[in-house]
Amino acid sequence: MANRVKFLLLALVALLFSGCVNEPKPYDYSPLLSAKPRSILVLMPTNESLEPKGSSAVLANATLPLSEAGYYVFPVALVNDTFKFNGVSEASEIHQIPLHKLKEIFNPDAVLYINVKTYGTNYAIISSATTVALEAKLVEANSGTLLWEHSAVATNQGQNNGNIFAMMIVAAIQQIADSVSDAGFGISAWADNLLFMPDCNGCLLRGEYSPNFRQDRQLAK
Amino acid sequence: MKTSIFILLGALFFAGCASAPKQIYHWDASYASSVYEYLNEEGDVNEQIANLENLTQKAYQKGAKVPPGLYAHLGLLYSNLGERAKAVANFDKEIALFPESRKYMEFLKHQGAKKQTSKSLKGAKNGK
Repeated sequence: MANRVKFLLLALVALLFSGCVNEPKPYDYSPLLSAKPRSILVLMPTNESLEPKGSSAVLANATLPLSEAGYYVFPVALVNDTFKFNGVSEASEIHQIPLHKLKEIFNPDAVLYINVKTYGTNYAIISSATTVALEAKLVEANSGTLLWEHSAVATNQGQNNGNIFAMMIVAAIQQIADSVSDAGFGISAWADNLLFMPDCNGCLLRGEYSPNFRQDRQLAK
Repeated sequence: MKTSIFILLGALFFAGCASAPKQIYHWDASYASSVYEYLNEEGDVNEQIANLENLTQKAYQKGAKVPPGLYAHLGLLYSNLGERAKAVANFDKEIALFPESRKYMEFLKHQGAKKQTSKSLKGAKNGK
């Protein structure tokens, strides 16, 4: 019995050290920490997939997780209409608008550029999966400094994410997904959720509207 | 067997409640799907307005916060129906809740008054 306990302890110690070796390099949060953005302007995502609704589904679902992360998110449909009324309707064109112009009209602290890498259903012999893959860049609105970048992939094929924050908003996401018929919409809600979830190395830090501002797990080291 | 799983799940659920922070805002199905429909130029504007007004009422009854952008989005829908006064009232609510929106909301109120003659973004597509 005592031997077994010893063995277990050794195994635990071994695990601990292997953990240290394999630990990824800590994400550099210094630009984000010093810029302290309160408000984020989310632009219509560019879309590399063949599904035209990919951009709007990802954009519509970005507001919830970003707001719950503690940021003011400019109303995405209204922002997009403002571009449209001014003759800019393509996402790729919107992404080219100079920051000082965005600052003039919206006055955001930061601008978020999202690209939809993958959006759609792959039909395979055994089963088919709907996948949404996103990459995002958050840029400081005055200087253009890159504050944060991250990517996320969501698929409806057996994924289990243990993050408590992700679990918390499952209910809201599920309701949203159920109310709209296409699968891609629901999966893009998941993808946005994963993209903006807190508390991992590389995850977005919470904003000032969050009661847990500056209590992100990855900062407590 | 099954009951024990349910009890376990129940316990997990409550443990989650105790340790996890509550959501900051009140959300329901209508917001993101309204935005999605709007972006795709689908759906009925009056129905979207009814859903979002209902969401704000529920938030109010629960003493919960209305999410960022929701009043502004309502303002947009009213503006599209030509209900200028209601649009402006909702833009003002957005400012009251989230002062970060002030500059943009003032721009919209001003733009509405000018019937969108501003072309300030056009021709400014080159270079970041």
